[in-house]
Amino acid sequence: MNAAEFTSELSKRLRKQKSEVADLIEHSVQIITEQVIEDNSVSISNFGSFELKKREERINVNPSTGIKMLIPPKLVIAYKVSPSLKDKIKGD
Amino acid sequence: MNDKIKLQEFISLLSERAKISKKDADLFLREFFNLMSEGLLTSQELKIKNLGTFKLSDVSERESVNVRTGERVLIGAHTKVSFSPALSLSAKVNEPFSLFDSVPIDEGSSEEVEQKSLVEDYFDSFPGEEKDSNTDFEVDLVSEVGESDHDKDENYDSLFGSFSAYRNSKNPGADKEVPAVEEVVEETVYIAKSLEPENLEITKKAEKADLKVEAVVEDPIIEKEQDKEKSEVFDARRAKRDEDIPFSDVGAENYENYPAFPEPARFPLVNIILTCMILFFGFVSVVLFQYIRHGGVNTGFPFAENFIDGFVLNSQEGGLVMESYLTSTEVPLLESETSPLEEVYESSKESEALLQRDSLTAALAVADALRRGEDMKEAQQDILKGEKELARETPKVSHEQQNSKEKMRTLEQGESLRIIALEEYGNKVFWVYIYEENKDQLKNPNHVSVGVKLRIAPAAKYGIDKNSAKSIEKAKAQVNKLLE
Repeated sequence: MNAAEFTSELSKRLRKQKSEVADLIEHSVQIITEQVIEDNSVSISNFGSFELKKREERINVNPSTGIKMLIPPKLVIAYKVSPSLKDKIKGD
Repeated sequence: MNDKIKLQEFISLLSERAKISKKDADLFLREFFNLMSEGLLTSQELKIKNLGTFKLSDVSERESVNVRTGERVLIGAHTKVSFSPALSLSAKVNEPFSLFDSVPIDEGSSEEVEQKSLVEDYFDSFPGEEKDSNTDFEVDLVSEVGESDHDKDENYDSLFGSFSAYRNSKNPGADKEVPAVEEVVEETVYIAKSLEPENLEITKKAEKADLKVEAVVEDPIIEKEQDKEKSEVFDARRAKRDEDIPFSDVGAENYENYPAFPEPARFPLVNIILTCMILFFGFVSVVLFQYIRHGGVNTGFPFAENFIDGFVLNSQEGGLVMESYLTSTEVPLLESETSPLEEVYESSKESEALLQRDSLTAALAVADALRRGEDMKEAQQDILKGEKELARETPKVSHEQQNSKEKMRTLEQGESLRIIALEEYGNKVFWVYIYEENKDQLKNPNHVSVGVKLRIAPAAKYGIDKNSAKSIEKAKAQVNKLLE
């Protein structure tokens, strides 16, 4: 289901305009982003949670060339699925 | 920071931001997330703009190990959900670390020494500089060798800019060191892009998140310097330790450098040997003490019989008759060499002891009679009786005659099978036959309790002949068999 399909389906269910729904989706995504950047985890029951994680720096070796690369540390957003949703998925 | 944003807070944030009522926000968000779940379940993949893609992927079963128990465990086939954030989102999230790029590492070059001195100088030349200057950290390090334009850049306020300026001022003609500076830069692990003033905010955020951004950059330089310092110090110490102090130089004032005693070795062997000796002597004394106290062999020391036949303590007679015999079983060679002599010696000793004992008994009987206050006549009779008994008993216990009748013998305090065998059969080895005869009573030949009534079989029953070496050998064989 791509973004467009999602938006249209959601607007149908909410009986709202697509544009409105699209706006709301955008706002929601921005909220999630901002919260995660501030190291707050966003958790929605029956869906899951988004949280900030740090990946440590590491040394990669390119096996063919043998060049060692040092990759700096990194912050990433991670999604954890909620157990109820996980069960639903497994049940399928 | 470290807060958990739940649905309610989300709702209020959304209503505030989108300028809708909380009720509307509530409805929207619930439907939003529900649809996400449904969409994912139905179509295996769900994409949200600026957020990312959720995907369901099938995982085949695999074997694994239970970390606690070490058992093999089968993880069944299942579906897993994965999320890959949108590029814009991941970029925004990683903004504090966006200063850095991956860099190839170049190991071990000969310019290290030069670099080190340069780096040292660098640190010396900035006395007023604070170490933890995150917000002031504007770096414009260059990775390529040969680029010297930054020197001329007025706005260039980087560490290395000033550094090279400093270097140049010190040694006006030292242009060759400029490329060396670049090499230092090359060794630097991270390249930082030039920061605009607005980005101070981000570095502050990094600070807030406690992510040690700048420290990472500084460390490689500092570490290298520290390593070099360390090795220098070690070398100096080693040289000092190894230096030979000639004897003549040792004056009174130097004695403080010398330990008063030679330092003890790690494993003081002498101490160990001493301890062992003490323990051994202690053990021996305990063993001896046991014998003295219990007056016999059957004290629970299973192999003691093989070494010492025991100190016979005949307390009943009121005297301490101590005789020790070395047994024949453990030292066969010796025994056979000296056996006839020993036998004679033993037998003579034994008869003496018996006489002593019986004479004592007789004497005691007389004393008893007197004590009881009988007539002198009767006392005399008793004395005679005693003497008769003595006369009677002596041939009885003469070793020339073998005892042909079966008799009973009660084991007394301080007696052992060996001693009885010696008395009855003329040789200690023949105790095996006593044991054989009384096997039903004696489970363990080493432990015979006082008061056990032993049947003494006639010698002929087992072919016991103290004078026959053959019978002795036979008995010894029996003993060995028993003690196996």
